[in-house]
Amino acid sequence: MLKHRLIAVIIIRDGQVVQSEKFKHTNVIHYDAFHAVEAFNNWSVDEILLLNVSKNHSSQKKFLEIVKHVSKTCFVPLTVGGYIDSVAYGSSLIFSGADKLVINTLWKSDIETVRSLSGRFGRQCIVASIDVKMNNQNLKEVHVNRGEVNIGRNAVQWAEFCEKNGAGEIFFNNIDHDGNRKGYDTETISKISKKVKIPIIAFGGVFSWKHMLEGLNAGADAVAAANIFHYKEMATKQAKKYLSRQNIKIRI
Amino acid sequence: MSVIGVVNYECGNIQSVINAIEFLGYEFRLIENKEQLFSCQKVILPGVGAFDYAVDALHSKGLFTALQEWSKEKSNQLLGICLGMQLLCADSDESLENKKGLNLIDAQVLSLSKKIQNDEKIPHMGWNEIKLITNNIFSKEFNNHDFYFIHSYAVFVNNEKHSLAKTAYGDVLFSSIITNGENVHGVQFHPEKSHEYGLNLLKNFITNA
Repeated sequence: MLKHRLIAVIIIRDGQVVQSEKFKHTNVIHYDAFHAVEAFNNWSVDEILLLNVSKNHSSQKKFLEIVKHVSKTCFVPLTVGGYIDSVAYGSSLIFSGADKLVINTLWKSDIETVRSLSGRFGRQCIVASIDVKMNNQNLKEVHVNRGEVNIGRNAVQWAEFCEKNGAGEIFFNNIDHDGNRKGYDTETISKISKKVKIPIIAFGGVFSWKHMLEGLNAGADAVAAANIFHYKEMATKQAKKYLSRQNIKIRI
Repeated sequence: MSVIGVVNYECGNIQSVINAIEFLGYEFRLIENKEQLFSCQKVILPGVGAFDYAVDALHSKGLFTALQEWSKEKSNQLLGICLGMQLLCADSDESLENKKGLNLIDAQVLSLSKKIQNDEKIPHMGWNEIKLITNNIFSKEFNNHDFYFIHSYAVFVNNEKHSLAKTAYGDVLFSSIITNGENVHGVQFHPEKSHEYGLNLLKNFITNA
């Protein structure tokens, strides 16, 4: 039987691993992403997701170097994203050892490039990152450009759009939950999961293993977290033990 | 020490396979033409991407017929991974232009979405266990262990003796390891991304096959 996945997210700004809170990245957790990946690889995590959240486009090159370096010791799937704006850069990430590409802003700015990447590497290689945030009318709307630009679409519509245009998976986050320790936005996850046929990864807000259970119960196929995994020794193993005790099918 | 050939048809992430070979302490050689293929006795045909693109790429490098010829020599050992496994079969549902596969193993590649009756998601993505049918070069230590799968098409053998392991997804049971009974093998999952057991399986291919 297919297991649910536990995914460790490593947020990288200018080459350093940072903590994320509502998409602000102030605390440096590690100085070197390599050690973080090595630890997670050893703690039987099911997948590792590296996100480049640097302020500048010029971070592309350094991030590529990091991917090349960490993939040497990463023997679980490695998913990477941030500033993927061309077939050339997406391809260079794949040829440097990434298994999947996370795409966010490009769905809005250049759908043809997304389709080209999906056609070239297969849709299983394309992860649609969808970030929502509450607007001043209390409506959750999709934001791109690291949460800076509201595109005025709701998450379900956007997920369906991405699925139709070559996404193999959805990576969902709610910016108001990000780093906020109150659990995932299960309401939206549940709505998306009823409308799309591709797997959904829940992200943003985990402060207890119970939050992960809630995400899976809401319809997520995989659960992801970042901050919490950095502060507990063997954290991913603890999370899996908890989920397994709750009768969740997970690789131990 | 033997050098492991890795077929490079510029289709997807072959770096992971190379990383795994190096991590295990072996040397690799990229194979981009017939001469390079015939200089190796153990070859991995990795695979990410689309069936048609891969078939065309193998043809354009002269590797398609070269692989068929090379694998007639039974001391040469071939391992196809994921799409690389599907390429070993006669054809695939995925092909939009009815392109032919290498036809080294008598099996069909069918669309999972057509086979699955309930609402399982496609692609079949994540960790799933394999059930070994017979003890083989991949050894029984892997029975019931989880490996990483990511695919929308799956292999169904025409003769059960060519299936070494099966995996269940929803109500569908497909072959997760296949063989021609001699020197050509395929795995649907990604051993290079399946942590400890995956690395052990690759090591078994390198040392035992």
